[in-house]
Amino acid sequence: MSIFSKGHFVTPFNNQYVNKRTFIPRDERCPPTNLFQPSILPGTRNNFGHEDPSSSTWCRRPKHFFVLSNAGKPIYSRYGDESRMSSLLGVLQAILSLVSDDNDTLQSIVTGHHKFVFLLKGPLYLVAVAQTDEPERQLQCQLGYVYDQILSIVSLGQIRRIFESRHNFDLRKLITGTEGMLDHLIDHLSNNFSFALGSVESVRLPVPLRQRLGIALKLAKSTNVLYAVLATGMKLITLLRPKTVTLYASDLHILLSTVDSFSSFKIGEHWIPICLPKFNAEGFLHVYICYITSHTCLLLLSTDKNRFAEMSEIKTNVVDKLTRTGDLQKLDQLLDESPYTSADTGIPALRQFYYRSHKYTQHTGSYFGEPYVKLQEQQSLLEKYHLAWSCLRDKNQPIRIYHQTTATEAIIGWWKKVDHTRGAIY
Amino acid sequence: MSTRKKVLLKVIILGDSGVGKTSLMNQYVNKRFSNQYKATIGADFLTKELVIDDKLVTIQIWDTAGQERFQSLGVAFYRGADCCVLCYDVNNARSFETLDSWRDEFLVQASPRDPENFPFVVLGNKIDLEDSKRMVSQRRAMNWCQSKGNIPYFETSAKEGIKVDAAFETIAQNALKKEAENDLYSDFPEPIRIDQDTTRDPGCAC
Repeated sequence: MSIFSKGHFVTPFNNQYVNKRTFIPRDERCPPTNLFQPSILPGTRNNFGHEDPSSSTWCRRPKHFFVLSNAGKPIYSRYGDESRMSSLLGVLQAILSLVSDDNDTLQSIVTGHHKFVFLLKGPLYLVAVAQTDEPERQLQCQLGYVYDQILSIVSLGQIRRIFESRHNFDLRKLITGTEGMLDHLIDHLSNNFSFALGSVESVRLPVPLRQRLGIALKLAKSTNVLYAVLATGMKLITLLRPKTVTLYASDLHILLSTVDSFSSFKIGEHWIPICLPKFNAEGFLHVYICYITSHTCLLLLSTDKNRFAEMSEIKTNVVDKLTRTGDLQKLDQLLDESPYTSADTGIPALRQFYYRSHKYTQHTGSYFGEPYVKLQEQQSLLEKYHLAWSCLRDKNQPIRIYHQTTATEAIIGWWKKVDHTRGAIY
Repeated sequence: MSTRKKVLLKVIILGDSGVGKTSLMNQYVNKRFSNQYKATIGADFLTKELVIDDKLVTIQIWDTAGQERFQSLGVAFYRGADCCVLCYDVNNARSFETLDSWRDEFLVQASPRDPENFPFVVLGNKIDLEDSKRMVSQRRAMNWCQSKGNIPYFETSAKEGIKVDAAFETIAQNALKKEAENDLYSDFPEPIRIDQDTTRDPGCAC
């Protein structure tokens, strides 16, 4: 069944099946209610927990993410309580496993206006169901981040050990309470271009200030500190790491997204275990989290879970030093100011741009001004960027210059050997 | 967010065709609130939510339809089951005799961790028909269940709704008991030793 492993798998179901059994057709997005169980019990998730496949809001969501075990047990659903997806996920498991039994892998199903994209990772199956124009590769990449976020909570080593002996394990036992992290990540996957670029967005700062911040961060140098990071939201201010130990962009995304997902981290000091999958998917690091100003978060990662007191002391030293020099206040002021716009570049008619440095795996982008003020307008532009980016990155047909025009805009993507430049020019 | 514990139980229903597996489930599930998700792949998926011991239990019932076709699902279908329900028709001796092979096949395919103590439940269905048609006596069925490690046995009628709820309650409770053993799981891995595994290609020079 080679059709499964390459390209799209066109669903073999006849029309009757599609109309009656799935929630797919655009003109019939809401299935007959008797196909899905109305529930007597209220949802247990606070975020859209009351939605289920019989509700019209659920059907209208442009993108769904599901995680299930290879036994067909639901683990996570972005919208609606995952328990109520158990019939739907049972069907998906059966289809996926049917193909797996032929030593093949189902990558995607395109039917009607929907794209089903799958990522099979041992005992975990991840599924994206999208009505958006995002390329399949993009959705695969997003599923990869969802998988990484799960591993940050339950390491790969743990998952392997659990499912080796217990195929029936309900992984929600270990995930419950952290769904907020997955929700937060998934919402950012569509709105934040960093994930697609696979690089970290750095904050624009005067060079001397960033250097002084870096020097202050050196106070964190200790055999017990693996990484020290100063960040604001999903953006990097500066970081300290050993010469031989890389901090991968995808791990940093997961780390920053985790910290950003709980407002309770903003007050006080926190010490939590986290697995950074690209660094080491088998075990946990411990991360010290403290907001040293309202915008700036200090993160200290250690391999030793008993080092909270030392981390707290380092934080005090760093804060003392930065307060004495006045840099902390300066930083906070700068972060308070609105981000820079494309006008700052002096290039006429440039509406928005991203610049990504391959060497540093970092990027910067200008603020979304007119006419991309509304979230919907930004998302629409980002969808075009996604397409441009996947063309520039296509290994089979590498493109160096990408140019696309619409009625009101021109998108230009440019890949230079040393750096990547991408932009949207009107 | 509610702190009520959520548990999902995967229950597989096996038995010869025509013994009333789907009818039993429809009687149990559709009576009050239900859905039937019929898939062309040869399996029906039904779901029911219950509260047992203050736990929110979702029973995910995997019904098998048309054995020849669903055989192709093999391991995938049985994997990770919490309980297996074996059904036969009390008026059809052959359907009773095949229970052995259904049970064996399940144990081979699902390869549960503790096959001796895996929760099975046996349902003898269609007791609403005349006594003269009955081909399998209660004693015979109970003897078989006893010989297989005291499998709980119920005589049911999907048509009349006799003993269906009681049977499924036992199914849920036995599965829950078995599933709860997973709670004993405790594992926090050894800390990462960075001196061992840290030299990798620099992908990010942040």
